[in-house]
Amino acid sequence: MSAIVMNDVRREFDVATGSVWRMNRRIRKFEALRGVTLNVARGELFGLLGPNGAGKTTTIKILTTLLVPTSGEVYLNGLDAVRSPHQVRSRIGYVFGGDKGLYDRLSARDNLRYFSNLYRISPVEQRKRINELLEMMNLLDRQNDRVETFSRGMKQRLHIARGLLHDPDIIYLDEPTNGLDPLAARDVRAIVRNLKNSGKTILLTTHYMFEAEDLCDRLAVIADGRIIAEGTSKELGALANAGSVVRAEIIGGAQALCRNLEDRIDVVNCHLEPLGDRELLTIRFAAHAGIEVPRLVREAVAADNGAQLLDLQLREPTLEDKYVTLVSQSRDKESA
Amino acid sequence: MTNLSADWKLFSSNVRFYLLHLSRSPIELTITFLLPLFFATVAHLIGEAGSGRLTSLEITLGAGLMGMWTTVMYGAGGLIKEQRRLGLLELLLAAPGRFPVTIMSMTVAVSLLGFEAMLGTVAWGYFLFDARIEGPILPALAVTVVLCVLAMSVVGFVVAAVFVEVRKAESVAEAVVAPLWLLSGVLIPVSALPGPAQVLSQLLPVTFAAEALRAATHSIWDVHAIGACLALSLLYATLGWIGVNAAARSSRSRGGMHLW
Repeated sequence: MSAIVMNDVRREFDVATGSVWRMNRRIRKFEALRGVTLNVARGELFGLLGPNGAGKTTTIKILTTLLVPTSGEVYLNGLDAVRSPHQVRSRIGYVFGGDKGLYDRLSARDNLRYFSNLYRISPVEQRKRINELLEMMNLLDRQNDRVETFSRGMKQRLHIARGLLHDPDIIYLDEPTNGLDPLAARDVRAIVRNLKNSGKTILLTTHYMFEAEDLCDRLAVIADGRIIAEGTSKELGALANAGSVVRAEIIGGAQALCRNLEDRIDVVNCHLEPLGDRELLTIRFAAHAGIEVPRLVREAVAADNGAQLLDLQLREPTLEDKYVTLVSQSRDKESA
Repeated sequence: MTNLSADWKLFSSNVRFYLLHLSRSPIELTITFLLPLFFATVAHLIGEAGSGRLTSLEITLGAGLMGMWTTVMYGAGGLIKEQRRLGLLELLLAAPGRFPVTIMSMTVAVSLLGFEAMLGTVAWGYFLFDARIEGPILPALAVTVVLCVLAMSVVGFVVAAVFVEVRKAESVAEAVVAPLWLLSGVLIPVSALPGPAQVLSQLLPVTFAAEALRAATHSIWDVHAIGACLALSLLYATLGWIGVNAAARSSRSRGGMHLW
């Protein structure tokens, strides 16, 4: 049975433009979600990837009952999240990244005690659960210190503890490693892995592709309010039709070279960025581009007046390449 | 556990929590204690310049109510703004505990902090204006002060509901604080106000709480004022409850981003 089900979920927002004083105020509709369908199995760690403004936050707000969809159905462990939000709330945990979401003048223990009350956990159970979580998050020795004195990583661990107080079946992790240093992010990833091993259903949103690839059983890419691809990392590669990636260091390259390459049917995406005294050209080819890819790039650089090739490397596509390919294809379709 | 008993537990534990939270700001505590010195001075100067109908204790307690009003009007809205700034408002809504109970517990905590302003004023009144509280009036005074806290809390609850719905509601709060001082009769008796203002003042529970408090300084239990205050408090609590629920509902359906 699925833990999270979204069927053809749409969400519109009213966006105001102009001004009342200039008599040109207009309300237009903005469609943030355009028929999102998702199925996450119980015990699965599911990653939701997408560029800023793609609809990730709206999806999470709907799944946490903070927003109702304009149309469509949402079921969480079989409960209707739109009609019975109060029943659903005690079974879900919501953790977001960043400094917010905690009473910073109070201690870690006071924060957890407060949220335990909100989740109607009995005082006896509270003590036990808070001690367990503080230990699990390695915060026991700082439990009575004010949260404002905590590092970002400690705050994030406390956030996770807050989200787990009522032992939810489903946990939403909204960019939990956002802004953390590598060591703190590694700690958070280890906690997420442990949660998955304990049988929790987790929906994770992140901008870090290696993190998604490392943690998630399955992934979905959302762009312009639609799920454009769904599956394992390998399946996303096939869906993206992602082929080899060429990393070329050149001197004297211009954007025109990039545009010429992008005009080729077998090039999905080309990106030029400055790299000290040279430029780095990243070209993502479609799967059907074949084995002649390095030759194609050499020819293109040679044909460009003034550009000189210094180094060329070929590699297999990573999840990031597949993601960029999928989002680029979606944007091309939208603009067409 | 019944809903009512669960709500009561949540409410009482939340009030304790928010009092703890508010008490962790020494600057706010100091200002809440010192501000009544200004109110007490102004009230006594007005009292001296006026008809002299009010006793020194009545003037002092009236000034204390001004301090409480100020703390509640700015505090209730300020606390909601702080929750929004800290990204907590959406977490409070996403929790199973009833949202209006959480918001009401905040406003009660703020009113109890406002009680500190009352204590401060009484202290200033005693040392500077010879306003003494004699033993026999203490029971009536204690009850009516609790009544004032209740009346302020429910008005604060309605203010908080407005702050949940409207992001920048502080301009409203700023605009109504001074008129409310006058209308609620904490500074001067309502009978000294013009006719239409007297009608408006009858719509505020604080007006009756102030009346009962003034009567208590003469060891009189003003049953009519106490009853009217309780009835209006119930009405305001209901309005606040409906307002907070409506704000939460509209935020979920319109997605007007009030909560985040």
